[in-house]
Amino acid sequence: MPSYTATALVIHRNNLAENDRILTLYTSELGKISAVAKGARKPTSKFSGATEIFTVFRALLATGRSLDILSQCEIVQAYTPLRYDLERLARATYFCELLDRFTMERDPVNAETLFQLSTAALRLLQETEADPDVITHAYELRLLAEQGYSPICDSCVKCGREITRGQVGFSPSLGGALCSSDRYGAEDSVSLTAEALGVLQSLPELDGEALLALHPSRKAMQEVGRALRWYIKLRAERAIKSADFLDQLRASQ
Amino acid sequence: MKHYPKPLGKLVGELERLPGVGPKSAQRMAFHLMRLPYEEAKRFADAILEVKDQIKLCKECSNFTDQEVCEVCRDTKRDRTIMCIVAETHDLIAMEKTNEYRGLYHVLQGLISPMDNITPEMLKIREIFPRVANGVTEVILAFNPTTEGQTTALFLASRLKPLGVRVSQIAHGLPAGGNLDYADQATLISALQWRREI
Repeated sequence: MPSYTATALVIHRNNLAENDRILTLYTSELGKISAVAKGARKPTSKFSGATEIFTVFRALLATGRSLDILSQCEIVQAYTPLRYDLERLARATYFCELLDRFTMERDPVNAETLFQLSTAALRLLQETEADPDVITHAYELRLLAEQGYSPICDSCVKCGREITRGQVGFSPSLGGALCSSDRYGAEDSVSLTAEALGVLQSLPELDGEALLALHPSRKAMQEVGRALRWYIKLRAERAIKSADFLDQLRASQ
Repeated sequence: MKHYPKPLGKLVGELERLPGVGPKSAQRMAFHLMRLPYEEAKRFADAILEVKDQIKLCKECSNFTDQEVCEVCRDTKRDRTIMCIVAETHDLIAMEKTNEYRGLYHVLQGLISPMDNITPEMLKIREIFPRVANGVTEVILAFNPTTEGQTTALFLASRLKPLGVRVSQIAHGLPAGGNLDYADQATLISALQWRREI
């Protein structure tokens, strides 16, 4: 049975039979793959800790007929601090579901970039000084951009004119921002303040340090969050389930 | 199922739907059941129907029971100030087998799993609060050391702590009889974090 090595991020897992798990892994080499971790649910299994969601490991995999088989693995990063904070844990789960939804199996194009982007987002989410909303929306926008779904935020999606600051709109179905004159011109348009539009325009450009230093107003982040939630749901063609739980946590704060 | 006589094919089909049972195992079980004496086969079928007819959730702890209130909740010798919250009935059975714990239980009937659309409303979480208000001073969270277990534990802690009740979680780490050098890093990190003074 031919084998290969890969660095993988666990993005989903299902139980299989009595003790096994089917893992959905995002690897930096091959993109998204599925593999079986045999015996991973036994308490003494060498895979039990490594096969948790958003763990990164170096793996030796054997090519199987339908699913590959995990032969060996060594944890590179477990993101332990994220597992002791409910909100950050929910966000990390959301990142994994988002990556799963927006990628195809065995598509190595962009795999290295998306792997680095996702692990960097998880790393930043661990930082206590980071605004979790900033990290989440930056990750959403960068992931969408890498997969060709970036919303248009510098010009009006209806008239094409450059957007000047002021009260504008955002239409998920039209794919981006609406200028002040067209902001009621789509059925699903939501209103955006100048600050929220600025955040949408700048987030995909900023790197780690700049993201940690960014602390927009709560109102602006709520507007960005609402616009992106609808936009992502429309582009993914289905609801992102972990996003609802995240909303519930936010509402109870 | 075209190779089987119709009733046998139906039985193989039903057995195949059981968790972890493939076509070959289903065939083996079906042939075994077919060869059973009539009385034995009837006993087996009746046992399935009895479970379906009589088993319900305990109105206090949501454990499976054939009465209104389960045996654990009826036991007057139990410490009613401590409550252990578990995900499933088989977790309760595992805790009972230790013979170390003599408090009450609460069975959630699942764990929060946002990715699988299992939200807190779908579990027996709402039922915990009146019980806690009824004299419980300590809650022990005993879930599997998985992401879903941890999400549920953190969620419950955030809801229970403001009520002034002591909330603890069972330790995570190396299994009894395990080997330190064979343990994965995640388990060792966990064992280090949950270490205690001796």
